[in-house]
Amino acid sequence: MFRHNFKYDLITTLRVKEVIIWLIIYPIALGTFFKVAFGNIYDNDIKFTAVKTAVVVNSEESGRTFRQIAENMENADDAMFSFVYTDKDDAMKQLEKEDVRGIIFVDDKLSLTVSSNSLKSTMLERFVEKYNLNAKIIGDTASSDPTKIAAVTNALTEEISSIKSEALSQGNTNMYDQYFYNLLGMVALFGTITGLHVATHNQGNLSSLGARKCISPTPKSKTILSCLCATFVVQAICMVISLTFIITVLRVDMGNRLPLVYLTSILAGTVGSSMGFFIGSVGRFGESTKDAICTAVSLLLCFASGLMDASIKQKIAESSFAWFNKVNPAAVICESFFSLNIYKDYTRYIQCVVTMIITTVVFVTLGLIMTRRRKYASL
Amino acid sequence: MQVFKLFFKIAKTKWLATLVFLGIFLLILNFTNIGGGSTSFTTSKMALTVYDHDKTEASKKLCEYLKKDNEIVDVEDDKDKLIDALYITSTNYVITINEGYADRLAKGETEGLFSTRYLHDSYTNKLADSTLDTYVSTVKAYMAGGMEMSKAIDAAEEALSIKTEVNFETFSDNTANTKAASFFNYLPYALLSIIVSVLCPVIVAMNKKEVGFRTKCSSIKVSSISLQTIAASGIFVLVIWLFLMVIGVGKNGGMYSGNIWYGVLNSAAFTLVCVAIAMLFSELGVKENVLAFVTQVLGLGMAFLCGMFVPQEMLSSGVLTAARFLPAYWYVRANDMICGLSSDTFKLSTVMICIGIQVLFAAAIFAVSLIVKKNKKAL
Repeated sequence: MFRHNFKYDLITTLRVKEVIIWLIIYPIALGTFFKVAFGNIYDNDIKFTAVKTAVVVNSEESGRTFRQIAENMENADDAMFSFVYTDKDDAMKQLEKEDVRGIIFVDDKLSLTVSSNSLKSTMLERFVEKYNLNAKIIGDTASSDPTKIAAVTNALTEEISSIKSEALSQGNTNMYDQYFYNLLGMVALFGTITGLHVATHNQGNLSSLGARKCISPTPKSKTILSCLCATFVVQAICMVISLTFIITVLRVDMGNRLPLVYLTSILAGTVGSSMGFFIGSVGRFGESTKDAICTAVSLLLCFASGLMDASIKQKIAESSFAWFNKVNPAAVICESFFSLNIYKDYTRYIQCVVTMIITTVVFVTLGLIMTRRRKYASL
Repeated sequence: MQVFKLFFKIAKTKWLATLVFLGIFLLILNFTNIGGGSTSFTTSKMALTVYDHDKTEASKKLCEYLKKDNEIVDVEDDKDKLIDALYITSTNYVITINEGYADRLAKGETEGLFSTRYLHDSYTNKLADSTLDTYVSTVKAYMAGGMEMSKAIDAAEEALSIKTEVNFETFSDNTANTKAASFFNYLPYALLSIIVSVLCPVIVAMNKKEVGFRTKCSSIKVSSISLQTIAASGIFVLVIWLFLMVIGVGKNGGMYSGNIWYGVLNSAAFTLVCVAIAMLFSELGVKENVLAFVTQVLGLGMAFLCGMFVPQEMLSSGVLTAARFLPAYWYVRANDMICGLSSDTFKLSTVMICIGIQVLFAAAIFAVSLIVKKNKKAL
């Protein structure tokens, strides 16, 4: 009986064509928009590249010293600055067009002109400060104790290796990719609409199919579970198509544990559908009201998880509502993709998966409790 | 006035969608702040996490020095927690002052004084590294000049506190109104989502075959039906727009003034575009259960591509060229100029051109919806 019901429920679910199509089109369209918008932001604005700086030499003697130091800096591995020597007018034009981040004027001392407040400008400020400071220290030493000039100059200019750096993750650390995790989370949660159909197709007051099912001798739990399984399968297909598009066409780096990524997305779809089933089972509202509730809940959960603005997740994490995103299905789904990408071990990932499984079980159980033994005075 | 009343009777059932999008908009306004263009240079602060494992006078002084120009963020020394904090950028760089720092510095040894941890190879890393190196080399220089370490540290800190004056070139005379800017920047997302998700299903319901035939066979003239529908739609849209403008007054901290009135006009033009889009969707007969997808694709798509959620300055020229074919691009361009968010100087003619283009977009979409309507009638 289960297999028979499952087969027909699968056909019924697939008949809600427009929802299925949109569940696939939605991530493809928005994913493409995200890729186009965020494509190079991480490489251009977050990842370090040498800060392009214009240099205007006003004093030949100071210019020679500067050139020597600048050349050493540019030739070093991982150079912080790349210098362009030019005149004042051209330098200002380049600064206006943002071709350079600042202009260093070389006189007896260095002076700096920038056009924006950013880390790049601060890096230039620190460089100019250090240059002027070194000159001052050497000058002070020359006047107080000339015998120590060599030692002081050596201390100021010698290459020091005081820092031992360690990257905490070898995974994909591009924070803009969390928008894609959020997008997958949203597709999963929009699965509430397919889950909602399970409830409406089994409630006599919401659909004629529900009324027909109510009078059949098959146990309600069996009918609903077969219907839910069919919905899970359809939702899983939508999730797999979306994920494949994001990985293969948009070339978003989802890490090297792809089988687990796929498994997570299927589980995420299950969470969405079961949530829809739960919402559909609550109360006796009409289908359109429940539909609106599903959309509203999905949108709000995705908002809290950072779909509209990634910084919102950070602000929630820092607020007294930090617990919310620990249980928010959208945030848990994002977290699981993030864990797979960033962490070597599986502790965090397993926590997310367990949360998703518990959420699904709770939603399905509550939904089943609410839909069983319902009686209608008239239909 | 039956048609007029019917419109609001159906619109009343869509309160949930209005409330959700309004809620999301208010939450975005509450959680985000747009930084405006500056007129003077300010040093960018880094968010640093510092662990002092040496706990000596020298290491404490270094901590104090780092605290002066940066924000020190306390995070538990746990790898997972650090990764989380670094990923959401609540901290940018983790510095550990190693045990034996003071002893080694006193001996003039610099190797391995600090261990640093990071997630992104970013500008912050370079700036923090260079700050530490400058500090150490300056202390060493004073020690080479004959000072004891404690005195050398004090002298180095005094010398490093001398700031270089940085000239700030603005290239425009814009003054940013950040309060109004964040409101008007995110407004199109709320306007589009609310108007499309309410207006569209109401008109679709009124255009339903059975309802349409029933209305047409009544004694009301066809022209009166159209007029009443247009009047009801107009009043509904006007109320939504006025309500949002009142919220804007609250966010602005007082009545709009000066150029901000052009922002109000700009939002009115975008409201026309939203109405036109809603009309087109309703003529295309977009079903209610897929409307959420369509609204989100359009709303979020335009928000990310046109510079609402990601500033236009950060988007590549290719994306901006494509975005010119979307009305939200012109809205954002005008708004950035009005609120002083872009480097372009405020020019009334440019703002009016942007507003005019939005009105043309609205007219074009209206024309398409009329063609669709005519074709449907012909069928």
